[in-house]
Amino acid sequence: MGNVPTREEASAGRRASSFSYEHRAMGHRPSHPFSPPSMDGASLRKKMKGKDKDRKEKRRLKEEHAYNLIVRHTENVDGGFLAPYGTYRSNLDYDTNIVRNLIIDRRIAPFYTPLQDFEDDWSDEKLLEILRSLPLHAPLTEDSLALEPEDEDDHRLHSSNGSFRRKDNQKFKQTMAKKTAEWQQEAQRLQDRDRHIAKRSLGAVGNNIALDIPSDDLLLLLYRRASECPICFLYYPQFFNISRCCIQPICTECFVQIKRLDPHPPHDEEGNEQLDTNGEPETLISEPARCPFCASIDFGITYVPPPFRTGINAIPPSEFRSAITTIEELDENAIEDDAPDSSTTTIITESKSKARAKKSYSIDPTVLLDQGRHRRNSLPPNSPSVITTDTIRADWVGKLASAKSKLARRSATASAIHATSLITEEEHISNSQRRALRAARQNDEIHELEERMIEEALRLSLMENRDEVQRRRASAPESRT
Amino acid sequence: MSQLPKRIIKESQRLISDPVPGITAVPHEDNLRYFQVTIQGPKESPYQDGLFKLELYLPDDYPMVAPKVRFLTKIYHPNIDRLGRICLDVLKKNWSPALQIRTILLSIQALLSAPNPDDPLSNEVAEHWKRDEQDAIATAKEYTKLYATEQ
Ligand SMILES: [Zn+2]
Ligand SMILES: [Zn+2]
Repeated sequence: MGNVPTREEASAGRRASSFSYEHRAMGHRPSHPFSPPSMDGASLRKKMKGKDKDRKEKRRLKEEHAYNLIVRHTENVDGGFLAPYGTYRSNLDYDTNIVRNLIIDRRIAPFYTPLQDFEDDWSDEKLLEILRSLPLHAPLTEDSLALEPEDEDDHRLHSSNGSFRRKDNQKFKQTMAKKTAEWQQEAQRLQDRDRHIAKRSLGAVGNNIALDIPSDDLLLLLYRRASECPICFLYYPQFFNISRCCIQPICTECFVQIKRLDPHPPHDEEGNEQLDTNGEPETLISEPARCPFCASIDFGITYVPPPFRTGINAIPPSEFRSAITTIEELDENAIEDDAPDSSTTTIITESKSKARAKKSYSIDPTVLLDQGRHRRNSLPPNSPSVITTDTIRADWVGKLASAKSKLARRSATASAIHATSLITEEEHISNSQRRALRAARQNDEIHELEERMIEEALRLSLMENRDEVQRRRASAPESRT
Repeated sequence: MSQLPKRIIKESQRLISDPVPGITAVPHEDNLRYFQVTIQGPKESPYQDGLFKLELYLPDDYPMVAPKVRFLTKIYHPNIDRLGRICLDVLKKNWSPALQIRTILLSIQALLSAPNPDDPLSNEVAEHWKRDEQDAIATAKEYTKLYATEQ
């Protein structure tokens, strides 16, 4: 990237190898190697000049996006993560930076690892055994790598430039798929390593280097009362996002799937993906997504975070202790377990740490009982606590504009073809037809120019948005250290 | 995608353990996203006493996109065309991931009870329906007897 890393970036680099926690205790957000250097509009424009650089920048963004979709156990919030488990393989084109920050701000639920099955009568031991070995990602299959959805941009931009560009893009996609698989494996390797360390050093208080492995208390508190998401049918901790309109729960992985339909002509019953060349570009519309449960327009959710905090901007998940575990209960356990000497020592150290834990961050799990569903009334989409599908896919304006110009170009091409056929038919051409033909040809170039302008405008507004978020963050007091 | 999402497994199980009256849906052995469906013609409809075969397919993006459903049995209905394709809002723009195979099949059953010639897929049939409803219903009954009843 060429710029001198700041202190935060340096510490974030260490973070990847995960033996340090202090940066988080200091309230820093995770950053990663793709954070772009800050830049003002003018120098950005200069930098973006030239198609090659433009394409490079596009690919860098795609790579950043793919990297942001990797679950890393070191990036955890209240026992969940910043990236999806992988229940869905497509429609992942949401703004990963926005979603990561919303999770860190506890404004939407983190991506919790789902349980495929769950029974109320499972013993704690059984539940813990399952939870401790859950993978970070849904297993990748051979063909899921190839199933990467077609990017319509690639077709549009390169169909005219022959197969070279398309092949090049195909190659890039394959490289990205391979990289994703490698990143996932690496993330899993690091979690496995830390899990191993946590298991070995159980009870070795003050010497815990596997800080990101959640305590049993945390796991049980989260999953003991797991419930089913009504869309994916998977089991999650009860801290769900709640639809703003009809107060229904929805997991974050399902929420990020819901988006506007592609721009379409009004009254298009079929919701056709293929645009009609005869349509009027200006009439294309893009409607906000509807609630999957009650069909209200402008789907949005609110989220009431659990009454405890672990992970980013809070205590390490390994240090979380439930207050309900009293000293008396521990004694009972000790008797029941008929524990040999070594583990008795463990329990005593445990109980000390629990007593300490109780003092500093005590939680009474009974207050959690109906936690997720605090809200009883609907909220309007513009309510400050509501996160809508447009919040996390702010690019819909650009998509609409580009669909319009695409349609405009198509109908221009259509009339050019019409004009050409007139030439052959009548063997002569009127001045007005000549003009139409020339205009249509120019239209192609104008279109490309237009497209580049839209892209740049989008990029600028994204940068602005990022700056704004950073400003807001800098001025806001850190909630907890 | 070789791995079947949990949702599809659970929906399949629930369709068997808690079946909808008048409807069966059985996943194909070789492809668990492909269902063979039967719907009994609703009482007091021109399709009464008929048993209609359909096929239902869950695309890769299900439940974010609607299932694909088609009548295999010939049927005379203004919202179902000659190829068995169905004009039903919940299969198209009003699909929601909170709907299920079960709810879709119920909607199709309801469509048999309440044909809607104002939103047709099969124009000829719709015209017939609007011109002479009694005669159209008679044809629908004939079709039911001819194609949807075991001889
Ligand atoms: Zn879900
Ligand atoms: Zn709703």
